[in-house]
Amino acid sequence: MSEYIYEYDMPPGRYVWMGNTAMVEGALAAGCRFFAGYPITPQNEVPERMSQRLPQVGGRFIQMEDEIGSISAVVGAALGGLKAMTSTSGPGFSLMQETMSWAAAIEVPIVVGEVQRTGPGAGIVSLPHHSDIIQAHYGGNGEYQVIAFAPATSQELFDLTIEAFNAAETWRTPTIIFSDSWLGHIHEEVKVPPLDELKKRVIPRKKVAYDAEGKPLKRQQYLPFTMYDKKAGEYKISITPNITTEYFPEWLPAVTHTPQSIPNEFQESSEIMVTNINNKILANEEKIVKIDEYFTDDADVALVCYGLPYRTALRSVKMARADGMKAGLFRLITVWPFAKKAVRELSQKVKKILVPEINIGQIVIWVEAAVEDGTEVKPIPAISRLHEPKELYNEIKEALN
Amino acid sequence: MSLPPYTPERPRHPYEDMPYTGRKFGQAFHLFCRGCGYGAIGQLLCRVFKEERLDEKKHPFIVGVGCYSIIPLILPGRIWMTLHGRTLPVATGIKLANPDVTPICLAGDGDNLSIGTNHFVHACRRNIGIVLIMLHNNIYGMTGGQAAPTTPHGMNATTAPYGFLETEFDAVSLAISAGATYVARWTTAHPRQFMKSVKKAIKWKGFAFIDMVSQCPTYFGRKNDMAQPVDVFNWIKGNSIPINKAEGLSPEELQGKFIVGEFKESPREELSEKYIELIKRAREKKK
Amino acid sequence: MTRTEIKIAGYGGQGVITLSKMIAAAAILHQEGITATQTEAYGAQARGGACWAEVVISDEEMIDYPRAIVPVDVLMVFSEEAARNYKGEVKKDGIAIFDPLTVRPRKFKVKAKRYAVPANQIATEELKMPVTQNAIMFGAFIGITGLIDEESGRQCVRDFVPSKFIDINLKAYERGLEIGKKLKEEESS
Repeated sequence: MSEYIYEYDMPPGRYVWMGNTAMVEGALAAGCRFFAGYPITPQNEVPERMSQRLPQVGGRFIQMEDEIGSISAVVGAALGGLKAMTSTSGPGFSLMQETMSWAAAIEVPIVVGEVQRTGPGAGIVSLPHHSDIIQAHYGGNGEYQVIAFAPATSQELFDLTIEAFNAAETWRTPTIIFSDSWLGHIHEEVKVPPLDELKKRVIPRKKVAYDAEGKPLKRQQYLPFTMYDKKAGEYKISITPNITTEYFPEWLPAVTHTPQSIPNEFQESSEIMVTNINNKILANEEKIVKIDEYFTDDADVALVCYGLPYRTALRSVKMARADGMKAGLFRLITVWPFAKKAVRELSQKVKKILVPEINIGQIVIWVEAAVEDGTEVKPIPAISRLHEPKELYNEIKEALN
Repeated sequence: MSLPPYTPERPRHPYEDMPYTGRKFGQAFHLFCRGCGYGAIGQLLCRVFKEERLDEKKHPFIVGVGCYSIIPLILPGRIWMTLHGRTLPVATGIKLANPDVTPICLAGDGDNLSIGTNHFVHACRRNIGIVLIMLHNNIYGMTGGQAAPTTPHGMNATTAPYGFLETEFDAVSLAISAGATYVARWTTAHPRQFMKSVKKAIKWKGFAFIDMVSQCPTYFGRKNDMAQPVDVFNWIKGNSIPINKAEGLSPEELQGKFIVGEFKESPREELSEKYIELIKRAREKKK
Repeated sequence: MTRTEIKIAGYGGQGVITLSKMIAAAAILHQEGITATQTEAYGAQARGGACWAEVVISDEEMIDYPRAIVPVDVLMVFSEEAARNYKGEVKKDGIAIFDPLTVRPRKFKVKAKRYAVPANQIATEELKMPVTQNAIMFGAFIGITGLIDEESGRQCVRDFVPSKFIDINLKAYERGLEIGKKLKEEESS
């Protein structure tokens, strides 16, 4: 029923938006036209605004009976032809893991907004805690890859949500937006660009696949799932199948299947499927990963961070630079896949790496694994709170002495 | 490496070479146990598809996990196999995204009354245009004969070797009280009535639920002193009471019986249609 | 690179969050060259109980650390509990604003310059509309600190309140502005 789908309608300009609102608007700008969710603090503003805004642009909103239902409906709608997302927090995210693993196996582009709160258990709903970073990657059964973005401002929640939808469309894997209880409720300036500028940034959902010569593919030529092209030496990711078009396979299984979508129980088949869905991400790490570096060229000590701690670290590094200390900042805009190569290059430049995180240290393990030349890596954990700029400044000072 | 060949060529006409025993991947075999009722159900669904000339793009089969997951081997059209118990939310997503599509969900009693009961009652309540055929064989067949929420009280299963202590679920009453608009129950002993019901359900505006009782000779039969497949079939047939005859009977007399028939037909507005109205309203209001 | 750190504290329902949002919105939408970030104690505004909000106003392109860095430049307290908790967190040359009806001056001894804005009293007695105390406080804040232009504040009040209450709220805002400027003059003389 594409006649009821309309364009993004927010007039360009400056807005004061809560983080959660910015995430919704970013999703709508990216072409998200389906949302299924379940109330859980602190992400409630996302379904609330979605229920108001989606019908205005012809999208569909449904409040499901639980998080499992929400993400399953999102998978259904995604192969039903709409860009779809859900959002949740801590315990709800755990419930979604089963379906995320399945979505990765059948290569459905879905986006999950994860407004993190403290844990374990029910935790505290009003405090930030980046407690689900590893769960997002390793929470589900089986081996699969996710793409995860970690915005740090309302503006980034708008921009990176568009990026997240683009990544999901391109790489056909579950994509996560890491927000947290604080970032979700921060009120900040968001600049909405004009529609034609937005359109250039958005990768639309394709209904027809084309071959190298630009001819539409016949059904027989179309592969529903990723296949390794030996000749070209790259992974061929075809367009997402749509249940209402020719391309939908006769049988789309939940079990292990071949790239032609034939379910079977051969070891070879499992090897091909697992390799393909993982390597299509890992082999393209450089294309997917987004990082940002500040003053790292001549730095002796570098802070590696993502999400809100990046803002704290930026302040601390500015303070340290003002005092003549050679400090640098390395920011992971995408947390998953991990920017192994870039971190390795960083470790060759600096003498010491500090990793401030709002958890007991989840990404620091990956930083340690990426470092090859024995550069010292030190975690700076903060539980359910933001680091103080002074605190990180002192850590930099100590590291340089 | 030896993978089975993929034969993507489609028949010229979707119904041209669709024998009742199936056409998926050109197979001439099936994987059902001897005497299983699911083969018959698959065949009946093929007949419905052929007789009604259904458009396969409009009626995808959404299949859960259980013994019945091999029925699609003989089914026409598009099959989407989901996770255990998640057929209904997936179908909800499809239906809302494409209101002109009516997914046909195949779910087992374990899918629907155990792991996915939540989705089931809420789909009934929403009255979303989905056909749900619940295949009900009183046991978990695929995993080896464990007790199901539909195992009758006192019957044996591999996880109830001394007899099942709990009381079974009545899916029909559950669906009626949850608000499903079309509710029917048939058994493998009522194939024609079942076909008629499915035809009606596919055209039904709203949530249509059919509870289809079937025999499991391999586990349910063997565990409960019904050695031959036909014994289980006869047990089901003997315990079936048409709804008009059941009306005068007391609850004690109805204990352990399968009441068959069409229980409810009361149309109500369908969700995805209402949602299109909502879109129009929301856009009107914005102006 | 100049940052102004503002902390507002009181009980839920006193307009702490609304006031902070008004300040942030005025800085972002109605004033050129500066931007703001507002953070808050989530959920408290509706439930009651201790409640705080922080606003950082800066002329940077992007505000880095989103919370107010202690000691803050401007502290506004609306309850004695908040006064007790936060009186040590304001700079010596900072600004401390309080409402004498809800905070007794002897309970709020700070080294910073202290300004008593009787917003509650004016709202109930003069304007006969208690909710206008927010607009009064907002006006007083602008009058005292001068962080935001008067006209920007006026625009912001228009945006924030329902259309039928714009006039009374603008009146309250002007009243607050007047009080703020007067207090400021008294201070300098």
